[in-house]
Amino acid sequence: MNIQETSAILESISDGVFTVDENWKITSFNRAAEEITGVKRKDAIGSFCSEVFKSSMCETGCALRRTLETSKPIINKSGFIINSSGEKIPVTISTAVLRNENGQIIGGAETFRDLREVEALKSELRGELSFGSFITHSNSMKNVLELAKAVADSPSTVVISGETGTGKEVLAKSIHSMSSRKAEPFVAVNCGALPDTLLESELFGYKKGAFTGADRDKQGRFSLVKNGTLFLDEIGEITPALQVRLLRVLQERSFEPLGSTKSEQTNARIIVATHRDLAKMVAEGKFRQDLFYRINVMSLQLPPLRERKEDIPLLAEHFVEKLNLIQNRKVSGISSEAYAVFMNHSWPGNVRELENLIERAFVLCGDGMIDSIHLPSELNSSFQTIETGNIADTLRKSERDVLISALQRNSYNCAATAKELGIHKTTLYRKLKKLNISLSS
Amino acid sequence: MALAITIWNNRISPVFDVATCALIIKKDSSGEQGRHIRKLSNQIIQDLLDNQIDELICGAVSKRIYRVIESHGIKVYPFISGDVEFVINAWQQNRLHELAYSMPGCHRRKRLHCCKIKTEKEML
Repeated sequence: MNIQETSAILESISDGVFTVDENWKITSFNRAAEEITGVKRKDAIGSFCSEVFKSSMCETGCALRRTLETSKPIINKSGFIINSSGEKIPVTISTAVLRNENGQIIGGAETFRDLREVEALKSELRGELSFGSFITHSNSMKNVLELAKAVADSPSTVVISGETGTGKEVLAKSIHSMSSRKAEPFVAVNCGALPDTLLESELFGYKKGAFTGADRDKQGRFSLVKNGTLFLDEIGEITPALQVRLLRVLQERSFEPLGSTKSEQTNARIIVATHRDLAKMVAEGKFRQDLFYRINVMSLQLPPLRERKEDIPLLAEHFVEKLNLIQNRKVSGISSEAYAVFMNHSWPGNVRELENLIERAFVLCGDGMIDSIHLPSELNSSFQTIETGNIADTLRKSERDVLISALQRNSYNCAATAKELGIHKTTLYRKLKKLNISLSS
Repeated sequence: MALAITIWNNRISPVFDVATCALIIKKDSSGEQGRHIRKLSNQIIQDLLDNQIDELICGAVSKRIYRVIESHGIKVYPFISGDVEFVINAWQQNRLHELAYSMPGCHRRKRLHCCKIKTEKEML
């Protein structure tokens, strides 16, 4: 096989391949390597391989270095690289030694495979979730996730509360996937979506002939879930009659399908969620106190997105990456102007609203960057630029307003303010200095 | 002020997210006040905050980590490569945006975060 044939083969494959000389400078770089790393061949050739490949293994676990030292190839070592767009790409790499006609080592060859599609498919097959899928660096969210991790393996009932779109079902699935029940079913029921009679048959099932139209036995969700997790969303919507039935199930761990006289046992772990204040509903007589105390063993409160705006860039970019993968697109990111609009919005629909907005913008933005013009007009019209029309000054003003507001709430106590904002105290002092905010105010 | 530069083999460490070592330079209005090398833990952002870092020069950094560091008010010069002393000189002379200090293949992508510093300067 001659050089041209070898070159044609290397150019046709979907795995990245590059070679290095003894000084770790790249000597060849195939088309797939260009695509995966985002670095053009002419920029790669002659550069240090670590600065082109940008892998997690370069500094402490370089497979190519080991191969050249031992003359032994390494196959399918896992790691990640960072491409020229700052995207973290999971890869596996394999290495080989290059020798001249005299058998002397003249360099090495590395092949690498982009695993993004494989990882995405695996996530989908698993039902996706682990706590790692919660994108946050907000302290308030981290506290919730630590508590969730702690309760995951206990059989205790959990109440998850939070506004709509804050991720209650996502958290419930995460708790299930972190528990010893992860191999068992996760069954979700939206108690607010069904009328009482339908909900009862949905939860407990029915026997043939139990009512008109019941022409066969049907298993309810308590039966289907077996030893898994039953997630009851919008628990605050169920009627008093159903509250009584549910309380009995939780107390006695048994239930009767409609039309049956025989009890069935349940070992399901129960997680409930609500956007309502259940304690207030108990005080108002709208929710049974004994049921409330039965389910309120562990309580997790998800903060609304407007209280953790520092997570908006992380979440937005996660959705862009996800949609790029699903739709096979190359949207490059989100502009500063669009971020300014995001930070100014109150997000009544929380994370779900953000995800929908990004998906909408995807339709409009082509393969470029999501800009403020791709956002709904009502979002843009509520975003008032200051007189100079300078985006950087507008961002400063928004950040200034947030900091002053937080300082006022905490009586200008910097430690408490930093804690509320989820930032380090040093960061707060730096921001106060930069924005000319005086603590003596 | 304090500058941190993630380093490896006398050059800028290629990937910030897994960097193991940083050179920290303290500077005030009269000039450099000292430098020392610090091993980094796997809580790399906390290490920057604990050392009260104001500016960071690093190699490739993932978007998420970049946004987190930026949100703490630390000015980041990402996707920088080269010999450590040359890079320090370029930083002192405000020339880090030049092609010579960009990682291979980075300089062309103007609107991506790896060139955000230059884009912000253009906007202001």
